[in-house]
Amino acid sequence: MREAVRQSIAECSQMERFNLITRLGNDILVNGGEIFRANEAMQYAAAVFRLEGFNAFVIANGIFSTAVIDGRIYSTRICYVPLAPTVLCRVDELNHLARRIAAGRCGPFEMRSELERIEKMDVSGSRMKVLASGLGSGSFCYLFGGSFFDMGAAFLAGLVLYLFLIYVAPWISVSRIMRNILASAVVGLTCCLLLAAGIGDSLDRVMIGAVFPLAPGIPLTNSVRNFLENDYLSGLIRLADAFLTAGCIAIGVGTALQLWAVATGTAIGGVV
Amino acid sequence: MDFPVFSEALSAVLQIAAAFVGTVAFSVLFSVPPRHYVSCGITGGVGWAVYLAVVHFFSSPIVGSFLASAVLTVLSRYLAVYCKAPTTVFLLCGIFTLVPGAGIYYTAYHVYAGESAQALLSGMDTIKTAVAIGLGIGAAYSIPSRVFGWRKSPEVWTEET
Repeated sequence: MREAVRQSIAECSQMERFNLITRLGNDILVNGGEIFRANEAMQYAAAVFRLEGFNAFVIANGIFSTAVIDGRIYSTRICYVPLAPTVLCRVDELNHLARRIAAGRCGPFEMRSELERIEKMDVSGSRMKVLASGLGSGSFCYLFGGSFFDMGAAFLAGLVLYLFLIYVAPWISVSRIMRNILASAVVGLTCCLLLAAGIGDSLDRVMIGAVFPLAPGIPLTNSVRNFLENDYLSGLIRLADAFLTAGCIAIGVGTALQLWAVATGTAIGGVV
Repeated sequence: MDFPVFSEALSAVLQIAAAFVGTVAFSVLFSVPPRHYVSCGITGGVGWAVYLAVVHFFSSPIVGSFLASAVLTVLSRYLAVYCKAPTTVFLLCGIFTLVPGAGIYYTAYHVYAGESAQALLSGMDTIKTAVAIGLGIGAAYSIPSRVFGWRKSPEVWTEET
């Protein structure tokens, strides 16, 4: 086993090994893995693949890495890693792959085919996501004191939210900020409509449940963990993300309430 | 329902069940591998159970968020070793029950209704909850990883050729 790995390392050029290692780090980061894990995985893989003088600097949206090629030239790679949706099944698989490489059970060529497989791995289907968003909204509405009718309304609004995010949002805008504002405004208007149609009892509770799939839980958690790892730069990037998302939800929902109030001639928060 | 204790217990059980379902739903949104759905759901359910207990006995939502996120982080770290998966998988899904979504909504509501004082109060509450969650995660991460059966560093294969 190790003999085969050793031979495959010898056959693979240094540049190619370097590329593969940065690609591993890039994949971990883009799918929502921890920063220190991306860094560690790259360091271990470089040690196993006999890459001299490998050094990496990883932050929330970029990787800077250098290695010595042929014993004399410094080679550098800079990867820009956009803030992308989290895909945890890929993080899980990449974790397994990194562990296998560190143990010397996976050579560069196998690593390349594994990376290609993981990059194409299926995420949850669109319909599943829509359904999950509805279920999540319904359950969270109950947690925050909603009645069973409220749960039903939040379920419907949650469905509308992901239908909008998956099928409509890609057509309209590319900016995350505008997308979040629009999505929460759509949810807010849907909730008002549902309440006016007689589904649900309390507008507040339905609304709280329905915006939960947008709530910035992931950037908040990641940001805190970055601060705890003394990585203040990444922590700030993600904290900004969390606060902007929260602000966008507030603006979107508020605008929807205001529009509804103007359209029906009632006070804000009034239903009919 | 003439027994307030009974109906309260029933509502607690229903809420924990809802937290479980909600967390599983969120783990589908983040494409968690299906074999970890149940573990994610348990993390969320336990987090909400701790929160409910603290709010019931000490009536302090901030302390509740702190303790719940600490317990939830410890549980995710344990599950990470037990299921051989990154801690992130369980932590990111489980923490969603505690994220101050309600606070964000009420802040927006009061701002648009022109009630600035109320808006400031809810805004402060939201930030306090977020900080409490952060400190909870921090406290749980201060426990050395040896406690969870994690080796100091993995064996890296670097024999000389």
